[in-house]
Amino acid sequence: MSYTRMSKLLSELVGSGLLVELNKDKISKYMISEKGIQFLAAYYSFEDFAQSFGLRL
Amino acid sequence: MALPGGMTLVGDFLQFVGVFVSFSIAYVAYRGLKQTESSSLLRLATAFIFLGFGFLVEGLVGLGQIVPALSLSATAVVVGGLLLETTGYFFLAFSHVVDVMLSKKTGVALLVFPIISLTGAQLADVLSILSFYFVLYGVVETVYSYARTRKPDTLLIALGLSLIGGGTFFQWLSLLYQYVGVLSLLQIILQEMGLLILFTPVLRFAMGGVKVNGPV
Repeated sequence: MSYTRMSKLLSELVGSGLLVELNKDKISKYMISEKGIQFLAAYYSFEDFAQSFGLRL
Repeated sequence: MALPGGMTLVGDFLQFVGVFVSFSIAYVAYRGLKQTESSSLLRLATAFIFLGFGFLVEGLVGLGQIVPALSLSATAVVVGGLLLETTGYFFLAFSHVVDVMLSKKTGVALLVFPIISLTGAQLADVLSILSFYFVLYGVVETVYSYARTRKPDTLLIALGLSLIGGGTFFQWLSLLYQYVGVLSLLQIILQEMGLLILFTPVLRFAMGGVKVNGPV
């Protein structure tokens, strides 16, 4: 994945509250937020539900 | 599609069970749609909303045979219910068509696999056969999906769809042989057994306790 595209995606994920940006010593680190964990759990659950019917999300 | 004697009550009750199951599946799919904005879940929700309303109309028609004051035996209403049901099965089959086309598989050829000769002049007859075709296509694609993912639930859903397909076949037969009441009962029983199997992902989803605070 290109840096430009990754930056854009990270920005969107942080903006939607799924990732938390941690800035320390001029280094940016990203951590999944509580909302992000919940979203992943929900996503996997709905993915499982759709796959039961032979469909993909 | 009249059922003899007391079987009418049983058949009618089963239709409303079908309403509950269909709307439950549609509700879970709708919740998933709100979270993931998945077009597959949109089509799945649409399919089961139409199916739910189709079963509701057929259930009300059956109720009219028990409670004359609620009689809705007009041909237009009966055909309307079948049309809603066929539309639901169409969206179910269409979901698989889109899924196949997006993945650019040669499986599009499976569209013509369950070739059924269409006979008869009645619209209800045609709609029943179309429902049968769409459900069978759904079965074929679901089995194909199982071959890809090896998820036991997918095979279970294929079994459920097969039973529903059997039900739609008996529905068609019951239109051709209207005085053989057991055909309608077989249709409803097979359909309800299939729907109950389709309800298992909803149960598992509900027991999983998925909670997300607000949309993303």
